[in-house]
Amino acid sequence: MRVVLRRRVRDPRAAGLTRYQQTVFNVTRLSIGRGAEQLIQIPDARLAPAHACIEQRAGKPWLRALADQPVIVNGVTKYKAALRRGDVLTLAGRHLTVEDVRADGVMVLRLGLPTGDASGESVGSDPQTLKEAGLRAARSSWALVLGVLVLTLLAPLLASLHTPLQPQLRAAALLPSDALWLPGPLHKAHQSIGGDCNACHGAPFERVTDQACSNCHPGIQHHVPMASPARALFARMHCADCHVEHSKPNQLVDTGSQSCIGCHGNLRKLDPATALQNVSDFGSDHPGFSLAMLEPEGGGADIVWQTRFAQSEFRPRPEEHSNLKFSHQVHMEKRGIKSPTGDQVLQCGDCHRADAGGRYMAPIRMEVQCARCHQLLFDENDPASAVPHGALGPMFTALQEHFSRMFLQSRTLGTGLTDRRRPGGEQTVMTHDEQRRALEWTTRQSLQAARELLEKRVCVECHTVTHLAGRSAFDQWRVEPVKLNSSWMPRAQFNHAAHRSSTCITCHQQAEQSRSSTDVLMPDIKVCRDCHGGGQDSGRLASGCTMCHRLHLPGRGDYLAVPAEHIAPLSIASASGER
Amino acid sequence: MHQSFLNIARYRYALYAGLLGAACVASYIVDCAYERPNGGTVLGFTLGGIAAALLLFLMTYGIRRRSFRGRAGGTKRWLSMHVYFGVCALLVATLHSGLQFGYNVHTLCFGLLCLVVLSGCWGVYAYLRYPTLMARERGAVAREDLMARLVEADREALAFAAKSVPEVRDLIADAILRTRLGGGVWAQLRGRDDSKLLLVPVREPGYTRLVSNRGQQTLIAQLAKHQATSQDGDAQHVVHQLLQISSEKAIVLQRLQRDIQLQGLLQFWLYLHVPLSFGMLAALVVHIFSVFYYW
Repeated sequence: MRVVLRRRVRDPRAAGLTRYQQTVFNVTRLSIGRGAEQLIQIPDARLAPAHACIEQRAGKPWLRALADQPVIVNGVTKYKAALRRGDVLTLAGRHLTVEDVRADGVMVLRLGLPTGDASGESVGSDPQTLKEAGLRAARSSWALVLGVLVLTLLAPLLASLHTPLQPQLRAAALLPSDALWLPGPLHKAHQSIGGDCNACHGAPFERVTDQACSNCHPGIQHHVPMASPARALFARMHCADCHVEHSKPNQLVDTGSQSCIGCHGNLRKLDPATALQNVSDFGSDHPGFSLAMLEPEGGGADIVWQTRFAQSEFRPRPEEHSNLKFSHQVHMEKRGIKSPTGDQVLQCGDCHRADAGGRYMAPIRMEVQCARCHQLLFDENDPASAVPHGALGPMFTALQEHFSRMFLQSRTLGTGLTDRRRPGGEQTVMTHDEQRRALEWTTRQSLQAARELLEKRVCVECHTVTHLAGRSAFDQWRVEPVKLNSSWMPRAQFNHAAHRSSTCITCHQQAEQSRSSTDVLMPDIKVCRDCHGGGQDSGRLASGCTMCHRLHLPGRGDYLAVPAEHIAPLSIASASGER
Repeated sequence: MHQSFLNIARYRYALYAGLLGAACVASYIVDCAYERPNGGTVLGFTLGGIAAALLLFLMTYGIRRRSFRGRAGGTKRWLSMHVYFGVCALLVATLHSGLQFGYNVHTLCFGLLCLVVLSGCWGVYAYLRYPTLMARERGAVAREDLMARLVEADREALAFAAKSVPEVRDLIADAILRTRLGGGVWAQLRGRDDSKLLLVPVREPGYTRLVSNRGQQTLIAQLAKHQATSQDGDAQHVVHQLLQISSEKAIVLQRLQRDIQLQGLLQFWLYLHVPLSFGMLAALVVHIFSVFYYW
């Protein structure tokens, strides 16, 4: 757009005459206003800095007001107007006349002199302090305070107070709801609760109740037996004391050891009758491991296995009485050990396998681990001569069947066990005498084989066989029952899978040298301490109480069976009559 | 040594705030050994209580500042306390948070507190730096005197221009009209000379253009051109006078612009600090309310 602007100016040297200053603009829009950057600058406070502009629309000049103030066109206030020849715009008392709009688009404008007493002063009209520029601390303070209160207090309160808006507010990701009050994310295990704060948080300004937890987690077990006076110590404890939600790192159980040490650090004073020792730190103040030893009482069918706890580090060292004869040293021989398929070098894992979960070792079973090599043959040359493992009765039956079959086969095939043949030998029915002699023979042979197995060669290699005085025939032997310990530390939890990167010998250090099954090969606490330090250890793996121990122990009774508040808080010492 | 609000009473308030901060840090480190750092532990609540008390105390500075009943130097002591305990409050609040942050009102409160303390630190910097800088740049002259000199220069220029040819007259009048000083918040803080000049081609082809007249440089160049092309001795003299006046005006204008900028920078932080403080206070109230609402 080309604009020719004729500006009427006062010329002090040509008194009474008017002079025009003509300038030509080639612009897309002609800006008009008070500001210095306006092409037609009219320095008057009545105009906005950018007041209006003239631009071309469909080839015609078009006026548009830029501020809220209108422009007077031919005496009429207008915000926009198409301009034609002869139109007069009035801006702060000055006339801007459209002298001509030529066919080639050139517009000729004439700007008159001020009609009134408008001052030409521009310097100083701009604000020169921040306050003059419109900054107000109070205004922005109020805006911020109200914004914060509406977004973070009113909207979450609406979502919290069971209003009809609650579902919408909680469901929408961008709308403010009481999720803004979450101090941290929910634990993964609780994510199914979603945004329903009231699932756990009941009445406002009340702590989360244990009842809220037991709604979803019924039957949580106690730490001490229900009848124990120590139960009183838990009267004031709530689930939320140890189970911390909305916390980072996102760990639902407070593994800090302080809650445990609160009692166990001084347990012998709290409960003088306790069998447990004080403990305050795994690395520096933890008793040696107490092993659950199985002790046989009685013998044979009447045997009862009693559990007795023994300190692993005490001398003499505790011995296992499993009634099994076993030498780890023989089996772990580096050059190998005889097997039906030749010499074999055994590894720990050939016999000791983890259970399906990988946490514990699966029990050793003769049929699974031993029978590969220990075949129960009473005739070494006959692979079919194996007796079953287990009770003696089936073994004797198997022997008798074997020798009966031998007898009958020899008779039929004439291999000459009973060499005499009667005249008219086609007769196959045995006489009573022959049957008696056959029974005597098989019994004799069976007893001889049984004696060989039980007293000399096969059973006796691993089992303790007792010869019962005053008994005869098959009743004269008793194999002492075997029970291998499957839970050495029932008060702790150990995870073999978590220690997979270590070799078995790293912890069970005596395994390769042990000659007797009475040796207890469980590691001492100092072996664990090679890698595990106390709760705050920085050099080793920091190991708090909950790494091995649990608070809720099986068989102790429902934690919330009787509301804890109903039990008067008292110390164990006073409960047991000692002060 | 000059006694500023930082070193008043031999850094006594820095020492007190430092001791409080050190005690909080020490207890935090000790407590870390026993429990996970969290705002909800016993120490967490204690630190939160200390931080909240500190913040309320710091907010009273706004009231104290307006009260003139205190003895002389009292306000300076209060400012010293305000600064040191403000930084300490941020430290205590950080420990209270256990460095657990998220998309929630608690982190909003902490974030606002950070902004408040940051803007406060900017304020400390501004108070230490800009007043001396302003005095140095403006010399011993008051701003009003500089303004008077500017108006005087404009009047002289118009008077001389009246004796000159119309082109020069228009040039001078337009330069005066389009001289900018101050302006909006951004213009004041930026301190850039946005003066313009309408350049009308005389005796040569071309269109009228609106060009920058920063530091009156375009005007001076145009006047110099006129002086070079002018044949008349009197006219040359007039233009020479105009050149001198314009140069002087440019210097005064630059000083004034710098003064407006420095004053803006000196004050601007407060327009952030005060609203952010109140916003933080609102968030603090909501933070405490929400923690106990869903306990």
